[in-house]
Amino acid sequence: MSSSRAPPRGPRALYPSTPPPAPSGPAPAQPSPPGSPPPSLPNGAGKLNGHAPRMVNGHLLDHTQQPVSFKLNGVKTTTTTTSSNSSSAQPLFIPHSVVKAKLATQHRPPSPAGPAPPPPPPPVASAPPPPPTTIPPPPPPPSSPPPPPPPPPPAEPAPPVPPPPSTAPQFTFKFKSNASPAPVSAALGTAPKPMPVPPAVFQRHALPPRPPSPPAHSGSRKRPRTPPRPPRASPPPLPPQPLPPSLPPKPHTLTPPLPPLAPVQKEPTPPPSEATPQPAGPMPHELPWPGPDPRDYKVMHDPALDKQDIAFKGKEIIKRHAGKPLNPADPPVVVKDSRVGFGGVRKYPRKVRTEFQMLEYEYDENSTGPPPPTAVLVTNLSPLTGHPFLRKHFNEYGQFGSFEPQVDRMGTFLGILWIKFDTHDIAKKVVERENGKRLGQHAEGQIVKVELDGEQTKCKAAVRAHWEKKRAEKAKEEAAKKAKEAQMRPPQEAGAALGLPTPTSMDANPAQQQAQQQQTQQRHEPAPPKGHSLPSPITLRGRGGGQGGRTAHPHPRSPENSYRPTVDSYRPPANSYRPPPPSAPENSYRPGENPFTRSPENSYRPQRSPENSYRPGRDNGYAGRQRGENRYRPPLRSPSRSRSRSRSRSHSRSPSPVNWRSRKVDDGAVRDALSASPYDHVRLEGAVRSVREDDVRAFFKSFDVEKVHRDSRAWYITFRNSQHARRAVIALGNMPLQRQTVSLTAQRPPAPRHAPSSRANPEDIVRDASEIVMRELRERLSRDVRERVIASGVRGFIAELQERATAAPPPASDVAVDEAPLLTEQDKKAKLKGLSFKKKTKPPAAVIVEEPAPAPVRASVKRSLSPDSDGEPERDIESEDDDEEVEVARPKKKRRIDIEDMLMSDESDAEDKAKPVTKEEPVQEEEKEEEVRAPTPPPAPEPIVPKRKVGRPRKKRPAESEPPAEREAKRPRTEEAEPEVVEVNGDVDADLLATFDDEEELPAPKAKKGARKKAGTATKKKGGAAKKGAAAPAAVAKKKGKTRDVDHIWSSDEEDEAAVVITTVQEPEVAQVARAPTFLEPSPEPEVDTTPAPVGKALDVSEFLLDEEDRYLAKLILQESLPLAGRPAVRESTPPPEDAEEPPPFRVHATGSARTEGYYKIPHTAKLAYVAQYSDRSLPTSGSGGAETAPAAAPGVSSRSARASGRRQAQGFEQINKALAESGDVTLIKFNQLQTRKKQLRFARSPIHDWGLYAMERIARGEMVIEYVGELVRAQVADRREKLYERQGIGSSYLFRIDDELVVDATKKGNLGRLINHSCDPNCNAKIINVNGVKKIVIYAKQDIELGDELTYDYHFPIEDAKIPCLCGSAKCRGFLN
Amino acid sequence: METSPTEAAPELSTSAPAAISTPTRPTKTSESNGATTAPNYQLAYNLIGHTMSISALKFSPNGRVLASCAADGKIKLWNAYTGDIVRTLEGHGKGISDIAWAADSVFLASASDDKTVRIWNVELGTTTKILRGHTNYVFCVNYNPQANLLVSGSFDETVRIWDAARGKCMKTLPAHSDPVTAVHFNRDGTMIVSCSFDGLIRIWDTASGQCLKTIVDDDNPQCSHVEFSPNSKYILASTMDNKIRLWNYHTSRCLKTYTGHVNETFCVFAAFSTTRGTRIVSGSEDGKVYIWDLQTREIVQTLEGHTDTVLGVATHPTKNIIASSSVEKDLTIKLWIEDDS
Repeated sequence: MSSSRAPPRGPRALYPSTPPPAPSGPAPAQPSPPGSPPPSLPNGAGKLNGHAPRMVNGHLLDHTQQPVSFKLNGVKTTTTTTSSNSSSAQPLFIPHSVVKAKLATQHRPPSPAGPAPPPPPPPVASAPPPPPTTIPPPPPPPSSPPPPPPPPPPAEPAPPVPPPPSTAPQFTFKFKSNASPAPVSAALGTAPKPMPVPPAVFQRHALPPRPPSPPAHSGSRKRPRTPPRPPRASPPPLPPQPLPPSLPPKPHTLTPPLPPLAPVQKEPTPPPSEATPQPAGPMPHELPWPGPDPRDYKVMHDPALDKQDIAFKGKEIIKRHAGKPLNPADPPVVVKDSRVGFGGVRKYPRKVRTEFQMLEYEYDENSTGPPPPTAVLVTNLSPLTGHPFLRKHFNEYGQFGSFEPQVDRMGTFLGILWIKFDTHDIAKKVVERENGKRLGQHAEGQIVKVELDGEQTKCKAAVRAHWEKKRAEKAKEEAAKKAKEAQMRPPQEAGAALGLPTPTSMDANPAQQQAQQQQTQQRHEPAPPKGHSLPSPITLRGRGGGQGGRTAHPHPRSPENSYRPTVDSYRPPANSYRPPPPSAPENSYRPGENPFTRSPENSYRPQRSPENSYRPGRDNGYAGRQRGENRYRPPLRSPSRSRSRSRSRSHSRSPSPVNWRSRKVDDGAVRDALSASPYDHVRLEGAVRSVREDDVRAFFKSFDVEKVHRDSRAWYITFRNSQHARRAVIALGNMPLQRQTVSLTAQRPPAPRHAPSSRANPEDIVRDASEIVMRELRERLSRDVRERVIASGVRGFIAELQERATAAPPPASDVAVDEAPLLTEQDKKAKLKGLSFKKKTKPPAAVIVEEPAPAPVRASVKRSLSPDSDGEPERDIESEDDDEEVEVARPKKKRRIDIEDMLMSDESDAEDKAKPVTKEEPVQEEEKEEEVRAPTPPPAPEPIVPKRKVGRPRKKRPAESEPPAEREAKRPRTEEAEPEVVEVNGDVDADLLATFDDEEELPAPKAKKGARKKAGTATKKKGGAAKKGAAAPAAVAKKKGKTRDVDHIWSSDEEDEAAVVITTVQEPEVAQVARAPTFLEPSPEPEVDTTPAPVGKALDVSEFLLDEEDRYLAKLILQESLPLAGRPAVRESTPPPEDAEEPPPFRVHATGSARTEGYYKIPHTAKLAYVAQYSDRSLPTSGSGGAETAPAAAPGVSSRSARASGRRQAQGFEQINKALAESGDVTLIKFNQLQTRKKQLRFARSPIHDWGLYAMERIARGEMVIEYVGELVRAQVADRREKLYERQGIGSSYLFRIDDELVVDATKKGNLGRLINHSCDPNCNAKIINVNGVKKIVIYAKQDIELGDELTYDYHFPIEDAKIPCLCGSAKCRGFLN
Repeated sequence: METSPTEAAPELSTSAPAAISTPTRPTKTSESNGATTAPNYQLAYNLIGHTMSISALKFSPNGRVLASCAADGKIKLWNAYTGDIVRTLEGHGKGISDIAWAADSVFLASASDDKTVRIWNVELGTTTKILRGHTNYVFCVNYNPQANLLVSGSFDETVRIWDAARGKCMKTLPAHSDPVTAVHFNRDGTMIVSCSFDGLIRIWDTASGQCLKTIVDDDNPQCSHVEFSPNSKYILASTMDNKIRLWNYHTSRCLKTYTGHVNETFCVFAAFSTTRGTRIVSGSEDGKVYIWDLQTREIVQTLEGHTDTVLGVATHPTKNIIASSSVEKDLTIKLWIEDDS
């Protein structure tokens, strides 16, 4: 038993920490009693279960071999005779029959062993008789025969028991064998008897081998450990209780046991070991398993080969360790396992791993995945927190590579800050320390959230969340509003009230649901969901109102659509809602609409009216488009999709924190900001990326910096003082900023952009441009179709009418037939010259606006085209033929109207209808002449008004309504009253005007149809003036009533439009009006312009003149107009639009190029326009005079100047004292004092004259600035030199007269002082002081001089005849130097 | 002024740049030959095509093409040997005042009244770059020998240095107080000389933009043209006092003064002719082309034929060809050829 136990334990024992020992202890006891094996057992058993093996080892020494192999060996060895010294070689021996024998029956191990074995069996049997039986199974153990299978240690205990015995026998056997050597056995004291028995003596292994397993394994040299182990485990069962627990560990340890084993010396010592077995027991474990060493053992006797007796007797056992024979006398080597304390308990229990540990490697180039974040996102900051503060605060942790406070378009801090540090550690540290802290400049700092955000994704998300939140708020508000509105209305309307969206949403419920789903999905997306949820309220309302149905679905049209993910893009959701149709202002163009039908609206408006013009394409640009998308999207589309699209787009486009788009917007914001500043700003280029705002501010610390803006290209610094920009440029122009050269330029604040031009996206621009072009083309095309195709038909029709008319005497019908053919020809010409119609561009916009307001009333202005120059007859005729003359006034209107028309196509229709009511506005013509086309008169908002003032009363007449007879009657009157005056029947009303335009352009057909009669008047008017001229006569004959030259009108319109587009001057019209009569005669072209405007049909003024008063007023007007007519040329000259194109200041080279032009003198004043240096400062200087002083007071003394003055004082006092001692001259003191330190001055190009001197520091009043140094020459010499210099072309005079005799000539020799320019309002004085008897010229500051100011003093030139113009630009400038 | 220098007579030939050709032969031969045999340029071709005053002429460095520009905004390229028109480049919105060839004879720069400088690819006939920046008429332009830089002078009184490849302005030199009438790189491109109506001739360091020297004549006449001599040792400057001067800019001394022509209102070109003897060629407002011997300052030939001011003059880099052009009344370009014999 004991023996059996021992072996099993061995393995366990191997496992150092296992508790088994204790239990084993008892165990042995148990077995021991059984005792047959006692002899051997005692040793092993006595030692301890766990130690048993050791014991073995100890005896055997080192048997370091793995238990397995070892066993094998052992088995073999035991069975085999001493094959050789090296047990390690044993495997070879395996084949031996011995092995087989073992395998066959383990109990027999002895069998091979020979006689010896038998004895062992008994002991074995004693322990567990069954073993033998059980043993057999072990052989196959690997397969897990009964015993082995028991692997489940706990369960096995019982069964295992048997095996142990089996093993035991072996062991015993072995032991015997081992013991066989006298000493050993003796030592063991186990069984002296056995000793004889053992056939072979083995030094080595006795070890752990568990007998059973070995056999099994024997088959395969290396038996799988697992199987064998179980058996081992099983053995432990011996110590029933302890084993189970220990078992688990064992399995692991099984293999390890080897290592712990330490070579233990055996031999004689064994006995002692026995004695000390227990204590020693543990020891062996301590040494690392050395591994088998062939040198450590030697087979002394192989029973198979030798006769025991002989072998045994005759040989002495030599035990070696590490190849050296062990001296039996030596105490056994005991190696202690430091980890194990007494009792074999580990001192330091192993840590129990509760989780897997991941290996972390430093991030290097070989690493994959994103680098450890070095950036930190700080959120929940107070928006009021200053960037400098934050910068400073976080700078404590280390340098950051990027500091990006998130701001909105306006630069407002969002409370989100993204900082990129140099290293991950810093970032971590920041997070650790800052997260959850209160952070703020002021005590009220909020608790901030700091997190790592290497990719800036969180930052983006945060910003997005921010916007969504805001948007949500807005949406709520809107929803609230709408809700209110909705409440006000009946439920049905409520839906409508919400706008298009609601209905669509309702219809599209299914789609909506989908949309919703999408939405919900999106909500889960990184983007903060807040925004999304908000819209729902709206939807609820809409629904509730409309159906009261599902409330849950977010309104498809909800503001979300407008949502734009990035900061820049945010725009109030409201925009997105504009009802497409009425909100013409965007004219952008609606997909569904037919350009033709819409044309009136679309037509010109954009270009003309500054506000409307570009906005659609340009200003709104990006945003607009986005908005547009949403707006135009078919209702079914889910908002979510749109949103996602926009978002995705933004993402794709903005990989970097600041995407270009946002940058653009920023630029725009910058521009806005700049435009907000009334003063010049400085544009700093060259260090945009690398420099921080603080640096820039520091750079400009000497100046009163208001704000620092920055866009992608440059920094912009605005100042609180009008002069500082200029000064700064001068003072800092050459200074490096952060060791980088930067270029500074002072710029005037940009004009506020009408629209957000910022968003200039190349693509957008192109697209917008293309849209505009397309629109225009469309318009053109439509107009052409109208005029050329349709109009021709109309003309034909008219012609027919005319024919009829002619055939029949003055037709009673109001509708007058135009002399279509004539007019048309003329019209065509006029059209070609369309430009002539151009009138003041400004009015159009205004006019347009106004027009709508007035009710459709037509004023017909009658003009006698002929009247002016030609004789009365013509007039008469004309008067009769109202048609021709009338035209004049209209064209102008039309043009303007056109633009307007685009917007107000509807109105045009209305006008047509309204036609019946006509107003006569003779004034219009005049007005036109004067400024804008007067036609607009009724509303006559802007320019028109003045015209009216001119004194032309409008006359309203139901011209058409009047019976022909009346008209005729009137006509004569008009003729009489206004023989020369041309009467124009114009549709005066603003609306009318607008309509005219519309009619003319688009609605032309309409006008023809319905209006011919009524509108006819208008059309007539429209007729080109040119027509009038030629047509007048014809017209006279033809028409009496109103003839409507539709063609003319159109043509004129065209011209007008063209003119408008070109933005040409309207003057021509004016001229035309005035000329109207004259025009007829002369070539139509030049006047054509004018003519077209007036073209309106020649209506009989008389018709429109209702009464005497009208007539009288009409006369007045016409008379006035005539005189005006004479002026046309003047006016034309006055408004030279073309001139504007080119910078007027330049002399235009008639010969074509500069070189072929030859030399010519360019006056200095002209240069101001284009020479950068001049122009830069010209303005500031001019204004500087008075304004400058005020601000100057503010700035205190700079630290530098303070220091300087201190130095000066200290330094100067001595000198002063000396000087005082020598001469009491105070000035001298001052001079010397001041000489100790030169002022920082710099010369640069001056607006006053070539070069000027500028202060590079602040100079206090009274301080010396510089001495005027030069050659001191006599006056006579100076005179000669002056002439010489003049001859040499040295334009500047540097002669400074000290007194009658002396002059300082600084022309060739001198210092900077000579560069000081003259000013009539100087900031310096020149004084002549006497220093040591020598007169010196010293310049003193007359007032405090700011950094960058140009120094000037009054030259006090004697007054001469040859005047030298002064360019000082000061308010007090006298105009000349002398 | 007209100093007959104590200094040795200027020798342009010493190290004439390759581009300028005829390195060695010039002086001596010219002296010997020139002295003995006066040039004998004969009118070979009349090139007619421009419709407005012709403002400048330039032979391409390879000598094959003659480029001319005119106030009508067009540039015409002519076969320098046959007088055939090769191509017309259009694009400028206004008249052109000057043109300059890049060393590769492919690119051509033009300075126009539309305030831009255009770079043309002559082979393709396209504009490759438009240099914007001047605030007034651009009057003169020139490439550096490496052809990577352009320098232009303008009525805005500045000289701008451009990166020819990128079309970006690299420097703006507030050079003068009047329109800049001529700019020219020296042989190695390290210096720029500019002159202006303000009468100053300034030499600039290309790299730093610093003014290295200012040369002023005592009388300070408007300076209409300036250029480095082929060896870059001297500066040839025309002034509107009917004189052309050769300056040693190291000493700021005037070495030679050439007179006899008329130049008081136009910026007439002057040029070195090094193909046979070293001569100075200049147009004149009397409709002639004057040729001086560089050393002797004598007029060795006058080419008569133009009926109006001869503005443009160009000398062929390798052959004895001179091109001249006139303005207004006479819109012809004349090619004068001297037989080598």
